[in-house]
Amino acid sequence: MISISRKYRLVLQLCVGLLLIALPYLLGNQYFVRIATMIGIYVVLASSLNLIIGFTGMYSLGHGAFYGIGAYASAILSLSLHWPFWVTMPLAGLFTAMVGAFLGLATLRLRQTFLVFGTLAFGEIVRILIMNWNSLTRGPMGIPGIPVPSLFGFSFKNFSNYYYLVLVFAALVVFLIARLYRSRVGRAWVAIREDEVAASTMGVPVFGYKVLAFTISCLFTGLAGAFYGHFVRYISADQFGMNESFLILTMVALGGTGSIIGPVIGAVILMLIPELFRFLAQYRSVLYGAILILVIVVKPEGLAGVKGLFVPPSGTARFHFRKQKIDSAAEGQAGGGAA
Amino acid sequence: MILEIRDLEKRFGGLVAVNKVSLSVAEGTTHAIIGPNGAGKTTLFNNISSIIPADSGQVVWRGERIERLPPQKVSAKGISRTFQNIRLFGYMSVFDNVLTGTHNQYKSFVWAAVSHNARYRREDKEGRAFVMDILEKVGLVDKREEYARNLSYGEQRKLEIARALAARPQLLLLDEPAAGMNTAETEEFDRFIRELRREGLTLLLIEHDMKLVMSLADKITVLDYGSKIAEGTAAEIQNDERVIEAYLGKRRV
Repeated sequence: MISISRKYRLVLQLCVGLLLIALPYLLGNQYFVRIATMIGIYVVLASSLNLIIGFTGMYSLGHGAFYGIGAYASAILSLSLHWPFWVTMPLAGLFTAMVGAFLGLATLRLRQTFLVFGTLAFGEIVRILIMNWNSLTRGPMGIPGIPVPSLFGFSFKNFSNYYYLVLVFAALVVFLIARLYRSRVGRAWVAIREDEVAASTMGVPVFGYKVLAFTISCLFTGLAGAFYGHFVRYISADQFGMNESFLILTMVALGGTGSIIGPVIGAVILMLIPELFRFLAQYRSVLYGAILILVIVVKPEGLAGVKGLFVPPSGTARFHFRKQKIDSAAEGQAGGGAA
Repeated sequence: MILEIRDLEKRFGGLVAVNKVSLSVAEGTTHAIIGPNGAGKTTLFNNISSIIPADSGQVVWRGERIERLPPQKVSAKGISRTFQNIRLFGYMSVFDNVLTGTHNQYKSFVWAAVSHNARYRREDKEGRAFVMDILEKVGLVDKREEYARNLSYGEQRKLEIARALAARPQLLLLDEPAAGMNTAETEEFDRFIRELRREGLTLLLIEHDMKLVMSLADKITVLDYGSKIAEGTAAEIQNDERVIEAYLGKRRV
């Protein structure tokens, strides 16, 4: 973990804040502003997945689906009932949180490995459901013409304006997650990640806190979905599949699990890479996979993380390997001495 | 009696780990449980703290049955414990480990955490001051920013006790607290336990260091193959035929 003294941290935060506010003017080009807006949405997605994976030590490979549920919920509500974004967005978040809570209640008693498969299967079920529920979701045709939000006559149609909207949203989510992390609730989550048995004997109701982490994570993910839908204005099932889940997971793994800044870093890097290497566009999935493997092997806790994503119970494989070499070397010496 | 165990039984398949064990712990005393390896001592602790619920029998806390409560509720009653194989929150600072021990005493939840309202600020301040007191007592103040996993073995043992004390227990279950300590450390630990006892804490302790047990315990219960084979004061236990037999084997006539 990078540690910077408090004074410099404040200066750094101020600089980053100013930079983010000035960004649309610095970039000029609307296309770049669009990318910056998408980074903001992915910052929220990665940060909320980190709540599950990094803080509480659970897994979810279904976050693409929760993202989609939020996007669809808000889109359908605003198109069929003509409710404004400011009503449909929070409702979409709450609805996604509710779905997350139900899934959590059903699956969070499973052991880790089974939870991985449970959430993975859930993600696929949601995608297939969206694909086939024609009367509600228009199936494979997707939902076009999602209205752009406006506030007191001020439209967010302009990319720069929407960028500021997402900037406020992302900053708020990161701020809330940071506060939760440093509170009694956050400590209970980390305690569960570290040792469920010890956590329960210290008074933490493990299952309840797991469901809570899952629910809050899904709330933010659903909200991010709503922001996404009203930004791109056209959504379809294939945008929220397994690839999306893995992309978010890779962001968390690369940036760093269990820290506040880690997922933010991961989201920024993984959103910029495809833009910088456009000629590699068709190999994008390969690239993400390679990054994930590289992180696990070289730096399991990610760039700015606390604890690795796939830390085996005691000592990593490579440490084990090294130790073995030392052991056998020592044995060889002993053997030589005896001879 | 602060804690009474009645006919507690726990089987793992064909193995009877705890066989109809009854014992009672008087308030303010130090009660030791001894016995050879595999006698069921740790299983008994796991039954009391509800980590592994017993199959039958009762655990009575101040007249109230608690054997069906989940571990966090048992902890809320005032029973705190440490583990034989240290179970700290490794990737958490020493300070936060102890602070997590205070979980039951506070109510701050999601809203308090994100809004930093008056209750949150009061509880946070109070909790942090309390944790500093405990760290002072066990001598880990200087290490408070370190990850628990980076502490030495002896320090980790201390930290586990500190974390257990943070729950403000009335009964503290210590599972082999002096294991792996050298003579000097054990003596220091002896003094530490006496201080806790002076403060009115009731202790139930599993320990293999007989010198420590004989010096500390008001009452000793001996388990062998899951059954209670003897109970009494240090002097009584030392001269008990069955205890000697369990530890050293039967004399050949």
